[in-house]
Amino acid sequence: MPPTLVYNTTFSHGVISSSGSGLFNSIVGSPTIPSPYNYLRATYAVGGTYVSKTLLSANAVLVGRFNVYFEALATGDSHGFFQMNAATGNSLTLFFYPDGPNLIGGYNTELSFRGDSYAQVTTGQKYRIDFKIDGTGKTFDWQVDGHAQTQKTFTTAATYNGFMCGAWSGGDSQIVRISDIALSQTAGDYPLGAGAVVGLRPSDDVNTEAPGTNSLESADGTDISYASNKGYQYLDENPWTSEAALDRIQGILNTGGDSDHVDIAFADTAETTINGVRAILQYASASTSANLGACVIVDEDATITTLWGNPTTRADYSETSAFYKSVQLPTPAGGWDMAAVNALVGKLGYYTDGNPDIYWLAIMLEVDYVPATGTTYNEAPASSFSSTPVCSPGTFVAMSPSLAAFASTPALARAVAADLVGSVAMASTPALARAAVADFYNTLTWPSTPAASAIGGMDLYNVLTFASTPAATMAYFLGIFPALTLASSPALSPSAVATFYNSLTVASTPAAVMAAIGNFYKSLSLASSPALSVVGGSDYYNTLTVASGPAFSTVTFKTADGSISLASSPTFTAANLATLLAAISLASTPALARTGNLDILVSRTMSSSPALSTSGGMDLYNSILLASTPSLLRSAILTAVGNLSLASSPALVPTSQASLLANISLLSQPGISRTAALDILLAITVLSNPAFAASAPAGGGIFYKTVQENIGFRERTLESEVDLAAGGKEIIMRWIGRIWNERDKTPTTWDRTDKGA
Amino acid sequence: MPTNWPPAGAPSWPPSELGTTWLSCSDIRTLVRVLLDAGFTHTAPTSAENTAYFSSARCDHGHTVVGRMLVSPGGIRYPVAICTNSTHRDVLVLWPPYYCGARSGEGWTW
Repeated sequence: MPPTLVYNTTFSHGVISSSGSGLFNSIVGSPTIPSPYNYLRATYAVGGTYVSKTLLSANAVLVGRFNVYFEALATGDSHGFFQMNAATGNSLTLFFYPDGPNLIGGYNTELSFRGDSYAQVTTGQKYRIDFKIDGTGKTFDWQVDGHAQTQKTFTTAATYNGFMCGAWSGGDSQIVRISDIALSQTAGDYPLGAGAVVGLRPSDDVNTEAPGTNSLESADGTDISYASNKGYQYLDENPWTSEAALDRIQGILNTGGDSDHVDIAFADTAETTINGVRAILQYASASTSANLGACVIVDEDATITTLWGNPTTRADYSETSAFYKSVQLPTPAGGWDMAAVNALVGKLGYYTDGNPDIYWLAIMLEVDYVPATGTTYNEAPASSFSSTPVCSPGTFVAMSPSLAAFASTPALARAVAADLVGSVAMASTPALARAAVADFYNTLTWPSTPAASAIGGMDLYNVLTFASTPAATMAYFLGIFPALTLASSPALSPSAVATFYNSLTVASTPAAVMAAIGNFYKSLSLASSPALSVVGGSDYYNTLTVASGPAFSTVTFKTADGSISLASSPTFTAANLATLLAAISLASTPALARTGNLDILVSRTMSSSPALSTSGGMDLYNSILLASTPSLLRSAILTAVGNLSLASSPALVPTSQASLLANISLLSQPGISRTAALDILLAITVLSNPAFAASAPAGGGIFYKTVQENIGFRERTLESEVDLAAGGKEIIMRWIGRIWNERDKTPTTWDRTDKGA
Repeated sequence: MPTNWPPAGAPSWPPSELGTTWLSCSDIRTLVRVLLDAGFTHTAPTSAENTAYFSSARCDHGHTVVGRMLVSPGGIRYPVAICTNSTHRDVLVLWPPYYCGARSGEGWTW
């Protein structure tokens, strides 16, 4: 439902005056309305600098929206900048509090409060305040840039009849701008939300006017005429001057002009979502004797609204300085829209007493609207933003360049953008658009974002087709995750993140992205979500193609893993890591990555997780194509194996060790590696492993052989023998070698046996 | 413009207690509210004040006026007047243009 405004302004008339009560009801100090005449500027001075406006009637509910922009912040005392004036009960004032984090808050005689982090303000940025004060329910609701603040309650019933704004109640300099004020007395209108006010000045006469002869004239005495001397040009000053200047329409004497009138059209608006319209008149007379004239606004329904006097009940214009009247126009039957605004006509004249001459000095409309795409709020460049709630992906792409300024964009705009993003079919959206979305999210301050926003972000990620998303984009997204306050959304966040990671094609993911993933895991509080987080982490690692994932990914995992309390997540510890390791395609993994995995294993406290360490380690070794593994790595493997408590995993270990050794081309290994291999063999209690023992010759002999290396014309073989009769302590190693003659393909051979204990 | 208004003997406006360089209001209700919030009171004029401030004063339509004294926390007495014409009800004040306009005195009784 469109709101029902009782007042709106952005001071586009440009005048500070209390005369006639049309603009303000009180003025204290020297507030100004500088060019381009769409905000009120107040520099704090002793006694205050502010204006107030009183509405036609008091009401228990006052709903409002305005923008506040701080040119300079107070550094010592708090300063009021907007107040909801009470007709009965207590007024409530919004303050800027300089101590601490520069928060907006509020005060009346019964309560004092400050907003949350979204109410933290700085200079050079516009903040939208929405509020609803209910003097019957005794509640105060408010938002800063669309972010709801904690509701406040008070104890004294109240009614409200207006506002004041500016800078007061402080001791040092504060310079503040107030703009785009809209007020309603309907509780359901809260929050009014994003909106702006624009002034529409006269742009033409309407050819229905009947200015008469020697009746309605310009100041030089020339009759107003649609054909030759249109009246609008005398009423369109920008800003209005505050004097009864020569630039006017005058009704002279009373020469039967009671039906004479000049009809004024206003500049058209291109805005389509209109909240309300207010009409304002500036007038005077040649002298102070009473006279009678009229000025009305006629809408598309031919409804006549009195601005100051009407053709039936005329009003006294006898002021020798400029006076002002204003009126909120009623909503047409079809509601406010662009056509309704553009159909408004001002009609003035209808005077029955033109002695002294009546002066109509200026007239204009102020229109409160919801800005459409591409339309910016008023003067502050840093905070210009569009606020169309939903638009097509194509439009979004067109908008994307402006998203870079989101860091300084009020929360409302960010919320709207989030809505927008949620509506975009990202799968069909070009990479550029997704990059823009990423830029957007990257600028969000997530720690201070409510859970709902985080959920929105997650929803977004779920719909993204990351495979086709540039790496930089993913890096941006991933940079967000560490900042999430998962504790506030435990159910959603870890699962969504896990889902997200599962969708990643990590093969095409650069190092920075994976580093971000690692950082995310490090930030998880696993104790509060043990099962999900670790499962998610394992899922992630399962999908990694480590071939393109350099060492840091495993190192990062190691670091993260080190923070895991394995005792509290036994499922993960024993099974998932093994699954993880088993799933790694080490064959295509560079040595560096494999080293990282081994580092993980070596760093484990094996005694606290024997089952995992041994089985996982063995699975790993089983899958390693050691033939292509550098010697350094193999050395590490052997070191790890040496640490295994093989006695506790009898079935697996010997078999795997045998497989391992079978695959080692020891001929390419330096002596130390071979020694290590032998140390392993010594450690195996083969007798306790029937599966392995069965493959060995009964009573001794060669039971294990590592073969072989073919390099060019050379072939080398090592056979090792354990004397089981000696309890495995006697070892025979036999080296067999051949070199093939290239021409006749005949071999030269040698055979050497070493024996020791 | 009102006649014989503002009175020559009236204290300067705005009241020094307010610490500001300018205070104007659109009507008597707003004026009284602002001043009451600042600790002012109001009282009937003395005979001497009636003579000095109000007896010869007329609104811009030539109507006679009734006066009231607005008393600052420091005891300084500021005159304000409302014309007696029931349809005009202009308020005469101490800041330019020294009157608030037709019907600005409506809806208020001392």
